[in-house]
Amino acid sequence: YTENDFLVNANRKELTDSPLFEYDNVRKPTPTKGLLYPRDSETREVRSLDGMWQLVRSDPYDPLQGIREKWFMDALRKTGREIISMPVPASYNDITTDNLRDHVGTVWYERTFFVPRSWKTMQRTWLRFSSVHYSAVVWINGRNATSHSIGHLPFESEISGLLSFGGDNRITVMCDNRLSNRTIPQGSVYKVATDDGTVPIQSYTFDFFNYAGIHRSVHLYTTPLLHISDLEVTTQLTKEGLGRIDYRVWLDASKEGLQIQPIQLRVQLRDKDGHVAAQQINKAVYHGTLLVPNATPWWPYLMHSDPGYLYNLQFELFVASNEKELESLQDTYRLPVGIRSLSWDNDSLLLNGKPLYLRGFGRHEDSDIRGKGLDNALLARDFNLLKWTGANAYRTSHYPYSEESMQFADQHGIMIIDECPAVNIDIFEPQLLENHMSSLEQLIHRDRNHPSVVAWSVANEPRSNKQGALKYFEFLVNYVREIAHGRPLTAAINANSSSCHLAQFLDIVGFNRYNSWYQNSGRTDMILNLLTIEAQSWRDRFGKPVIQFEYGGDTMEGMHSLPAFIWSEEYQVELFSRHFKAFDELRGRGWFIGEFVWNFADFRTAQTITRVGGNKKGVFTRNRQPKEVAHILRRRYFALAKELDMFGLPEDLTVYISKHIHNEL
Amino acid sequence: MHLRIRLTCRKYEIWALSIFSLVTGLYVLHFSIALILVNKEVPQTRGMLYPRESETREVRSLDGIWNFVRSDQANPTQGVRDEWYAKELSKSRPTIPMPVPASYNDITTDNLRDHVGTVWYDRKFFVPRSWSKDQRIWLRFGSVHYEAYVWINGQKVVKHEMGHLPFEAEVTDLLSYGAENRITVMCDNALIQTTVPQGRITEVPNDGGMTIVQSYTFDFFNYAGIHRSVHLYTTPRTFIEEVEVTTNLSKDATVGEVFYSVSVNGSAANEADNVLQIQANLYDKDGILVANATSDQKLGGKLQVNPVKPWWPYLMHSEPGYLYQLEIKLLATNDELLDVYRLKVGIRTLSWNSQQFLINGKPVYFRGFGRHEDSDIRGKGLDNALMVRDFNLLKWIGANAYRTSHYPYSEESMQFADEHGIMIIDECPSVDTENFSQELLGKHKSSLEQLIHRDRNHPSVVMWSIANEPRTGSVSADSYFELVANFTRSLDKTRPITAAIAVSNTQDKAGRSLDIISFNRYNAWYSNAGRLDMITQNVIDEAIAWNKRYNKPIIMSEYGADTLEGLHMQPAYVWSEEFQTEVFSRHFKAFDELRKKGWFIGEFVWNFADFKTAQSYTRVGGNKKGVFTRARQPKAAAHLLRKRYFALGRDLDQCSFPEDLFTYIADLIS
Repeated sequence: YTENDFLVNANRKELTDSPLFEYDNVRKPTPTKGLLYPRDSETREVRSLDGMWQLVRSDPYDPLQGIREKWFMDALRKTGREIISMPVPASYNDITTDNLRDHVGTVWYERTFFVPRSWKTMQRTWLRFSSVHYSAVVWINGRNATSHSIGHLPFESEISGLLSFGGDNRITVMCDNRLSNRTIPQGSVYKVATDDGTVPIQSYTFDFFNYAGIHRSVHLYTTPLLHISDLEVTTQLTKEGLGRIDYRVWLDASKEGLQIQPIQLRVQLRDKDGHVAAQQINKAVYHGTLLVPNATPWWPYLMHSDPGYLYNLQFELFVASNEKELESLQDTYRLPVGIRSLSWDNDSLLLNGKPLYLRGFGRHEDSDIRGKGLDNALLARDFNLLKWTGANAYRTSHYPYSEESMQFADQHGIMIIDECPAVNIDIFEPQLLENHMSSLEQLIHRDRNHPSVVAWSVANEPRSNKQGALKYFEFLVNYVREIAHGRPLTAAINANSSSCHLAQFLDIVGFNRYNSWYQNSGRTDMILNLLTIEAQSWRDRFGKPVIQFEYGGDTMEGMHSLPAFIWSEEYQVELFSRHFKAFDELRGRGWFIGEFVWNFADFRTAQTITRVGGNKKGVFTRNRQPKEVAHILRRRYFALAKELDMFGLPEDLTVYISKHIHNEL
Repeated sequence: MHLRIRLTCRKYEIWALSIFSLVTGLYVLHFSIALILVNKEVPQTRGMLYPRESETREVRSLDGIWNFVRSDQANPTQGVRDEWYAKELSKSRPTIPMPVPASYNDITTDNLRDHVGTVWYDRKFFVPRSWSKDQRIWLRFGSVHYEAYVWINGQKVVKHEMGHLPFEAEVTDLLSYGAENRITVMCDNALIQTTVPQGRITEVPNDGGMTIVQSYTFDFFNYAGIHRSVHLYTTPRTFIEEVEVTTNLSKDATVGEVFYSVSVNGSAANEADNVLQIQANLYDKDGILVANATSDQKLGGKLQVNPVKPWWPYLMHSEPGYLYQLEIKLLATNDELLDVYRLKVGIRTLSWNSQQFLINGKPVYFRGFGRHEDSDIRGKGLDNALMVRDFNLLKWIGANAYRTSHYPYSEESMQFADEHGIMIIDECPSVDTENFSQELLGKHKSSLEQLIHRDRNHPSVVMWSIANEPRTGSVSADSYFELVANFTRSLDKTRPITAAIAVSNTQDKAGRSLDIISFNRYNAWYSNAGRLDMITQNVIDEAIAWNKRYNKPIIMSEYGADTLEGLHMQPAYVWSEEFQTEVFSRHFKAFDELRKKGWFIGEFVWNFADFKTAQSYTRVGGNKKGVFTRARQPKAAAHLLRKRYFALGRDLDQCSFPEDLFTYIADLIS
């Protein structure tokens, strides 16, 4: 890229009536290969490079200085710039006490690591990043290893030829947080005059802080020379309880690996107790079908007493050994698999033949100090709170979440509306379309095997009322449908139903609306009718199932007001209660299939007068403690579970008040 | 098998004694008076080097999500009797996912937070086939609080008590290579009168029947679980087991000396020691070799560096925390490389007398904090992001020291202190001790032995604290602390000994055993609450009294006031940010008077950040005395303290002010 990609034409009028673009020359993404989640096995080793790295901040005025001066050729210390200790995974923004928080441009990371001598022979070594935001260039021992943009998705590279085995190695990463018209999500960088001179300012319209850095784990892992490089799994469940798993395997070999002759692929499905439930042996064929009589289905939380049931699908690749006719184990990879069916029509989304009513949250990966960095403790706490609340779903708003959280959702039966990073897109450039399609292709590639993923969200609050949106989204959605892997397509729309050019292409219509907040502030008596009318209008216009993906109001925990006053906990409770009435009215109409609160927890945003330390619409505080409304929401979600799924209520759901007040909900 | 169960059961048999003791307090008093303490041998720690990769070593982390089971409080040893370790934990009880490292208490939404007794963890991991050749495999825990029992593939590995310190065991013969393995950990958080720290377990009636209650007098939450990293690492068959380093500096600070001593373990060492050699190489920060030596037989020696870059504390030098890298190579006949281990070395010298504490010949004035390892959700679990943030805040505020109150902190934080030049008063887990029993003495000494073994090579460790707020007014405290202090001196003669004392100077019986006296006092808070006009003179008078009695350097190791961020009241009222600011200011006046006397060598705020405590009506969500909130954001007092600490930095060490130290108000105010 060049600097010009980040500078915006200062003539702002051109932005308001953006021209109509043609998409005839738009290229579809090259399909992603490989990128299996790193797992130890008899034939593979995984090594984490998480921990303490060193960081150098580039001059915001000269983000490419490090490239020109070849900082990657030697230790970053040699640049003479200040070395900052930086944890990985973490965003870099909130770790220091200076204004690294608002840095725009590049930063450089470095660390050293040892690679065992035993990795040198008969193996390949791979370097895999789960997420670097926004774009990354990577060197090993001063030599280029790989680069990637779209910060929320993984990338990897074979580095066998770059490593010093049995010795010390150095990895260098240049990370660039700048967003432009063509990045996903979009932003722009302006130069503005400040008291300290002209500085670049990153602006964006989305409402979460543009945290940056090495956000998720960095892994080194080994594979055999010939190895299983990718897997695709599709599942079905028949009415008779027969489970069906269709699988496809990709192999990859190094130059030496091409000499190795595969003999057979053994596929074994094991249940939670380790018993073999089905198996198949394939010779020279790398796809197949397993049939599982009396399969234990994967069910969502609260729809079954054993939600999130996962089998373990074991792939073993055998090759000819030195002696003829004998086979030896070449590679083993194990993949958790949940057996479920998913289908939809114009009224419903059905899982294992049963209609779903989705209730949950929009969320963010966000916490104190670490920003968007992966944190197992936070992940475990969040899932415990989701279950405590009785939620059965969330949307990965507004970008792909960590692979570890997808695994957690699989295990716990939490359904996911999986959203790509296209948030608030506005200027529908052909290059943006290419990047948008690529982000969805990479997302679907990464997440297609997760039973918890029940829909793909192709955008959040795009300016879909613009004239240019029609052709853009027609092109995009047609492409995504080709690769959707058995899942419906949705989006979170905030345009009016009468002017939206996107919804017609979707399978499920999702809308965001903040009655008595952004519109009619303070008026909790202006929610019920407006909401039911709007949902009905989406239904009338497009004839699809409808979900409300966002509603809510900012709430300062500890602030109380009687009668309810905006920002108080009382106000949040009242606002939710009015929405509940609307949702129950809408559920009776048959096509309204989900309600999602914005947001699960308070989160950090860019600084504006409307954000008190960040976005405070969370049902939980940023450090994951409940506001009053969490308890109200909990009673609602469990009441819905009882009504819809005959689920028993938790003992501690209601607060004892009096012997004479019945505790029915 | 039977013996292990017995060891486990014994702890709970003591519950009955505790109940009996509560009923007959007179009996306890009588017992205390009659106590005679005997100096017994303490088991000596071996090995325990921090795991580091090298040409000859591999390190694998077992951190991540483990499976977790909570035992019934009424039946903490059920898992041992039913042999839960013999198979996957999920086959004995339903499991929940639990992150490691983390405390388990705040992860769930039920009352696991207040669980007393045992919990169980397990997970599976692969061990590569390549590890089965000519190597030894070690399993090492950085910390499991309070007590841990560990099995691998159903076979017992190790047991450890003393929750804040590492332990390890060889597991070479227990592992399956090129295959899946299972590790099981039983973790017990119960504290009794002979644990360090002390607690009591009582059985009391509640609405549902009887329940177990853990009580303790220390003021931090008894977080529990696998708190720090779990590592598997390889060594060669014959390997470097221990490295001990001491350093010295010439008077003109131009020549540094590094004395190293190596212990070797393994068959080659046993056969014929004289064939082994140690090649020691010392590299500066740029990787340039500045000294080297070869030693045989004794496996130790001296390296001389001329000119040397000494290790200096933050703000005492423009390049604080300078570290060399010491590379230790174990060589066999024909210079065959057997093992390589590298560690960072800071070259400095310490000395003290009745008036001063000196580093590299220069007097030190300590300014900093008492702290805790504590944060939202993770509790005491190790967190790199939090650690870096904390060190950034320590430097932002101009602190040069902290005390690892009230227990050993993570090894990673010790490394960070070395790198940044932050001095550490390293405290063992003995907090609020009373009932000075023989068994407690043994545990206390063992905690110090393990602590010093772990931390002796860190240049940032400048002092050992052998206790916090022990009840040193009691009759047996005199002989008890004499034994503890002399034991500590026998382990390390290069660092002084202190303790943080809260009893009055007239009642204290431990001070004569110490090198430096530290005292904790909360004027205008626990004493004379709200009286801002009763701070300065009381602090001066008390410090003078301590010095007069013991003729030793004096540190105020704790002062402060709880403060609810966002509460403002003028005039100042307790719990407000105005009050905390005023409390600090009145202490600053006292400290500046005391500094003139020469023997007052340090001031430490209690606390760096707000932290979680047991539930009490005096604790609003926890202890709120932090200068920073629990989420690590400053209260008003932080900005005031920053101005003071940097003013001291300029006054004492001629360092310059940060540009943003003062807030512009008007041209007239400079």
